[in-house]
Amino acid sequence: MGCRAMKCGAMRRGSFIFATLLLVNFVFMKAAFADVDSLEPGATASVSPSGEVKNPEAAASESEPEAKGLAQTPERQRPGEGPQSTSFSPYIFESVPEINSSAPDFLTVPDRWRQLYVGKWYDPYNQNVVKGDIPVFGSPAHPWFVELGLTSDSLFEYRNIPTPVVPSSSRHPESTDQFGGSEQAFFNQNLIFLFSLTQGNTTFKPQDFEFRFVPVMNFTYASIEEDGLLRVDASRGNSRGDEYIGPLELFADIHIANISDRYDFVSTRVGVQQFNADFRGFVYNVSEPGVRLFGNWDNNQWQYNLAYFRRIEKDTNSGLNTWFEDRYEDVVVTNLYSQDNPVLGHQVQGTIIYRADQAGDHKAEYDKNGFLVRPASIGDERPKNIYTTYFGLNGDGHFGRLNITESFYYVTGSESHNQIAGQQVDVSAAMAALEVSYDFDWIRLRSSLFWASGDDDAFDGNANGFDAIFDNPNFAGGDNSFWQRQGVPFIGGGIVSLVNRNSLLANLRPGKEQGQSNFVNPGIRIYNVGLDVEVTPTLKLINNVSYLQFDQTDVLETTRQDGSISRNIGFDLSTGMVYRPFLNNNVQFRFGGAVLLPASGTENLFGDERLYSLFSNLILAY
Amino acid sequence: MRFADIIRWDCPGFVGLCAHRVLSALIVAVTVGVVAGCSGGGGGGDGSGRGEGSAAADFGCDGSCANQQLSASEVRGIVTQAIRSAQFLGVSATFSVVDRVGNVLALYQMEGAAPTTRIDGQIGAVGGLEGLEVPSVLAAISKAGTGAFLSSQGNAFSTRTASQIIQEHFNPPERGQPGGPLFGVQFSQLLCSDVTTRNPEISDGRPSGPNKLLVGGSVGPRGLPLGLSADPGGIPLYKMGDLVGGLGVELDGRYTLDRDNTDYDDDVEERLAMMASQGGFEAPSERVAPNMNVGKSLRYTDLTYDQIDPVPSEGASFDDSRLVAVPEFTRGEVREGVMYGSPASGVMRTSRRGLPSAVLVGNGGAVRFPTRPGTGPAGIALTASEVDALLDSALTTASRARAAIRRPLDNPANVSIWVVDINGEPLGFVRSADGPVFGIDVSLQKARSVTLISSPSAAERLSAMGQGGYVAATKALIGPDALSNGVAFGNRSIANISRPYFPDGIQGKPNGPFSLPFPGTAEGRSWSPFNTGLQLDLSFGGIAQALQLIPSASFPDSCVGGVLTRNLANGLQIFPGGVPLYRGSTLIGGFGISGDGVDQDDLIAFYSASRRGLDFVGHTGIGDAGLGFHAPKEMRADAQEVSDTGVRLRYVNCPEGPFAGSNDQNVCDGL
Repeated sequence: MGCRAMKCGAMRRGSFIFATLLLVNFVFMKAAFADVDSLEPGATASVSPSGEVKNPEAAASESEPEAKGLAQTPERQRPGEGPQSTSFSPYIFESVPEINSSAPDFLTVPDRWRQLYVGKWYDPYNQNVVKGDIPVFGSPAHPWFVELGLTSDSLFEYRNIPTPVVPSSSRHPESTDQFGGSEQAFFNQNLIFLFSLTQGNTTFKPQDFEFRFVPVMNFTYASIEEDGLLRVDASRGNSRGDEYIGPLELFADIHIANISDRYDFVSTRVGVQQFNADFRGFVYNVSEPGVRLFGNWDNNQWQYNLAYFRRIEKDTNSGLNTWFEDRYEDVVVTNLYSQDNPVLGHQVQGTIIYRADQAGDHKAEYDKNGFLVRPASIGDERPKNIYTTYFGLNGDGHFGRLNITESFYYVTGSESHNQIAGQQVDVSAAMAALEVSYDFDWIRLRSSLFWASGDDDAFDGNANGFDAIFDNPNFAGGDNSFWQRQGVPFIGGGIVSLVNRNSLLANLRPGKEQGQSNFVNPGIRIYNVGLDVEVTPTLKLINNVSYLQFDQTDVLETTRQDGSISRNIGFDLSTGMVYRPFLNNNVQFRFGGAVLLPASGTENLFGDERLYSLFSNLILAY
Repeated sequence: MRFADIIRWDCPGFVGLCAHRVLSALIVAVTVGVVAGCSGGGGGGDGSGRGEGSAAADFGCDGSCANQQLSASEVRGIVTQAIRSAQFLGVSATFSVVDRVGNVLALYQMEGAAPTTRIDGQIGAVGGLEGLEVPSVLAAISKAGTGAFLSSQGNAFSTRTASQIIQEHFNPPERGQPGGPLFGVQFSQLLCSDVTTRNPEISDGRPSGPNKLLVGGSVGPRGLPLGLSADPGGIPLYKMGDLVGGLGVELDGRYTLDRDNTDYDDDVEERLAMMASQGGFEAPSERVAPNMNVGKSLRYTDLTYDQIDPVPSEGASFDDSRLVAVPEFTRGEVREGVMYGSPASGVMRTSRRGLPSAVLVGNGGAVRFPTRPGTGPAGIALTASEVDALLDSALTTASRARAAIRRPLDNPANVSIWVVDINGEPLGFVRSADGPVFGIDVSLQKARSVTLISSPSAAERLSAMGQGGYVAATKALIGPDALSNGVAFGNRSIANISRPYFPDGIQGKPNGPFSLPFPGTAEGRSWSPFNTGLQLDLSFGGIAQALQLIPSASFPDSCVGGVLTRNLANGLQIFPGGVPLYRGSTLIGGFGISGDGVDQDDLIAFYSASRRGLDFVGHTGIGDAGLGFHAPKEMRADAQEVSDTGVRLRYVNCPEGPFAGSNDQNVCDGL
C-alpha cells in the first residue's frame, strides 16, 4: 500500500514547477503500469481515490516506487490470462440467512475500514483518518473521505550560468565586457497543502466526487553576481527574495457513469488541474483551469481525454498559478490511449492539441521583476497571436525486456507576427524522442535521442523551429542534466532565454511560464546515454552523458549578428542521487551535479567557461 | 488584424511569389537594367532580403563595391517621381535629395505644401527645440541627410531607425530598458561643427570663424540644419548596391518621431519617400535595418515595398520654379551628386596599414586634420607618432571587429576615429572606408566629451558656461568632488548620467544629472529628444546662431562658445564610444569612435588604446607598459559606486563575440 498515489502526487505536482524532482523514472513508471494492468476488480485497494489510476497520464505522474514489488507478485492474475470466471451463482446470495440483530449471538464488529485500523494521526505512511482511509461522514453507501497533506520541498542550488552586465550599472568595478560574474546561488522552499474530500466506495469502484484544493506557499531567494538582472532596476542589487501563494489544484471531480461491470467509467473534472498531454511532458504538462472529460472502456484497454483549458498567468518568481489572471491562451486537447499495442506491455497514444494564444490583442505584459515578457523582448518586439495544432503519436512500454518510449509531434499553424522574423510566419515544425533501456538486475542502461527541429532561415516567412505550449519534460537525464535544469539567458541577442528552466527546447522564449511560444528558433539535438544504479533499496544513482547540438544556427546568427556560430553545444555530464531512507516518499533526499563542457557553439555564444549546476533537495511529506 | 498582416496573408511565404510581387520585381529589374546599362545588373545579394528594401537592389555590396554617384538627371527623376507620388496620394510636400556627404542636390516644394513644421516630441516636454516652428525645407534637408549619413553599403538606415535609437527606452516603449544606443546623436552634424564644411558659393554671406572650413563644390561632410532627424520620411538612396544619398519628405507640419515601435504606421511621408525611390534607388533588401540585431532588430520603414504603389507614369512634371533656394544649402538648382570616396567629396578613400580607409580632405584635396602632436608639456602631451599608433590600432581593431549594424554577417565594423588633445583639438583622423558618414562628426564629439568631462576643471568650466545647475546636480548625486576630481569618464559613463532616468530606463527614478526630468515628473523644463539637457543647452547657441534663430553677424565655427569653444567645438555627445587618454595618471586627450554598434565603438576605443591593442598592431613601445593610454583603474568612473544609489557607472561595455573568426569573449577584461 505504502505512500498512496495521490499523496505522493501532490508533492510531485508541486515540485515540477521548480524542476526540483525527478522521482518518476522509467523503472517506476513501467512498474506502475504493470501493476495497474494486473489489478482485478476486487483488488483496487491501492488505487487512488480519484479512480483514474488506469489513466496513463495520471499514472505517469503519480506512479510510485513501491509498485514495483507488486508488479512482480506471481499469484496475481492478469486480465486475459487463465480462466475468466466472473459470474457468481445466484445460490450464494439466496442462501444468506436473514440477519436478526437482536439475537443473542449477534456480534457487533467495526465496519470494514475500522476492522483492521491501526493508524495514528501522526503517521502519514500507514492508515490514517486524514489520509482517506476511513470515512469521516456520510452514509455507508455514500461515505466521504478526507485527505489532508503537507509537503515541504526545499531546494538549494549553486550554479555557474552565463550572466550579462547590464548597460546601466555594474556590480563590480572594471566590468568592461558583456559577460559578468556567473556564479549564482538559489534557494527555493515550497509548502504544499492538500485538502481533499472524496465520496465513493473507492475500494471497489471509481470515486463519485472529489473536491480538491492544493495551495502552494513559495519562498524563494536568489543571489547572483550582477545587478539589474533579478530586477530590472539595477539599484535594487544582485539578490532577490520573494514569496507567493498560488493554487496548484482547485477542482471538482464528478463521476458521470460506469459503463461496464468492471467499472469502465466516464468522469469529468472541472477546475485547476494538472494535465500532461503525453507520457513525458514534451508539449503540454502544466496545471491550469479547465474542463476535462475522461474515461475508459473495454476493460481499460482504451482510455481517452477531452479537455479544454484557459491558461492563467504564472507568478514570475515562484512559477505558481496566479489567482486567475488571464493569460489569453486557450488549449484544447484530445487524446486516446490504447493498451497492449502492438504488444502486451506497450501502449500507444495519439493526441491532438489546438492552441490559440491571443495575448497579442492585449497590452504588453511585464513580469514581476519589471521585464517585458509579452511580446518577447527580442527582434522587432511587435505583439503576436499564435494559432497552432499539434499532432502527436506517443508510445511507452516494453518489448520483452527492452523498455522503450517514443514520441513524435508535428505542429502546424501560424504566428501572426514573429518578433525575430519580423513578419507573419507559417509554422511547420516537428519533434521526435526515443528512449530505449535495458535492465541488468539492479542496473539500468539507457539511451535517448531527442530532436526538435530548428529554423534554417529566420527571415523566410516559415517558422520551422519546434516549440511547446508548456513543456515539462522528463527525458535524457531529466532535471539532473545541466541543459534541462538550468535556464540560460541568451545574452546579447535579446532579453530571452536560450533554453528555459526545466525544458529541453532552445526556443528563445522569455521564460516558458509567461513568454509566448516562438517557432523561429534553432532547435536542438540531444544524444544521451545513461546508467541508473540501484545501489541499495534506499539509494539510487542516475548518471547521464549527453551531447547537444543546435539543429540549425541561422536564428542564432541572425539575432546575435554573428555569422559563424557553430552547431555544437557540448557535452552535458550529470549525476544524481536519490536517497529514501525509509523506503517511502515521506522523506527523500536528492543531490545532483551537472557540468556542461562547452563546444564551439557555446564558446561562440558565451565563451569557454565550464557551466555547472549543483543542487540538493529535501522533501518531507505528511 | 493589421494591414501588413493582411498583405502577407495574401502573399504567403511558402508560395514565395504572387502576382503583384512578380510585377513590381519585374518593373524594378527592368528599370535597374536600364540604369545599370551594360554593367551587369543585380543578383549578387547574400539572400537575406526584407520587404522594407528591394530585392532587385541587392548587389551583395559589403563596402568593397565601386562607389556610384547620382547624376543631375537622376536627381530630377527622383524628384519627379516624388511629385507624381504626392499627387497620387493627394498631398503636397517638400522634398530634398542630398548626396552621401550631405550636399543638397535638389530642394523642391510643391504648391500648397506646408511652409513650416512644428517640432514635437509628443510627450509634452517644455524647452529646447520643443514647439519650434521651422521651415519645412530645413526639415526635409535634415531628413534626407539622416538617410544618407546613417547608412552605408553595409546598412540602410532611415529616420525611423534614428527614432528608434534616441528615445528614453530601447525599444520604445519597452519600460525598464535603458535609453536608445544612439541617445543624443540627433545633436550632431550641426552647422556649427568645425568638422562639417561650409560652401561659400551658397553661403548666407556672413563671415565665419577660422575653424570653419569654407570649401566650394561638393566637399563634405556638410552640416544638417536640424541635426539628424527622427521623423519618418527620410531614407537613403542606393544605386547598384552603393549608397549615393538620401531623400527627405516633409509635409505634415509635424517634425517628430515614432513613440511606439510595436505597431505599423502608415506614415504618408514615409510612403511618399519609398514611392519616389522606386526604379533602382531603393535600399537593398539585404541591407535594410531589420536585418540588423543589436539586442533588438532595427526599424527601417513600417511599410514594405509590397505595399507601395508604382509611380504613375503620367502626371505633373518637374517645375523648376518650385525649386527652393536656401542659403547655406542650395541655390535652388538641381545638382549632380558627388561620388563618395573621391577627393571632391571631402571624404577621400585611401589605405592605411593595408586596410581600406578614408580621410577628410578640403580645398584642392589637402588632407584636413593631418596627424600632429598635442599641446602641453613635452613628455606629457601626445606625440604625433602616438597619435598615429592610436589611429592604426583603432583602424585595425575595427577591421577585426564583427560589425553589429552591417550585413553580410561577420563584415568588419566600419567606423570613424579621432584623437584629440587635452583641449579638444583634433590631432588625427582616419576612418574605415565604408563607415557611415555621421560617425565623422560624432566620433569627434565623443573624443572631446570624454576629455572635457574627465578633466579636473570640468565643473569649473561647465559652470562658467552657465551650466552650473547640471554641475550641482552631478555633485549632489556623485559627490562634492564630482567633475573636479579628475575621475575618468568613458562616453558610456557620460551616457549613464545623461538620461531622463537614473538608473537609466527605470521609470519613477529622477533624471540623470546631465539630463532633465521626464515630462510630468517635475516643474519647469523637461526632457525630450528635442531637449536633451546639458548636451543641447551647450550647443543651443551654436545651432541658433547658424540658423539665425537668434540674430548673429557671423556664422559659428563652434557649437559651444566661451571657455569651451575648442573643447566642445562640435558639441557634447552623450552615448558610448570613447575613452579619455592618459599618460600615467595625467589626462592627455580623448579617443572617439563612431559608426558601428555602441558596444563595438566601445571595444574599438578601449581595446585599441590598451597595451593589448597597441601591441597587436606592433606599437609595442608606445604608451604605458601596462595600461597603454588608459586611465589607472582606480581613477575610472566605474571604480566607485555612485554614493548610496547602488549604481555604478559603466566605463565601457565590450560586446559579446567581439572579433570575427574568433571565439574569444571578454577581450577587454583587465585592460
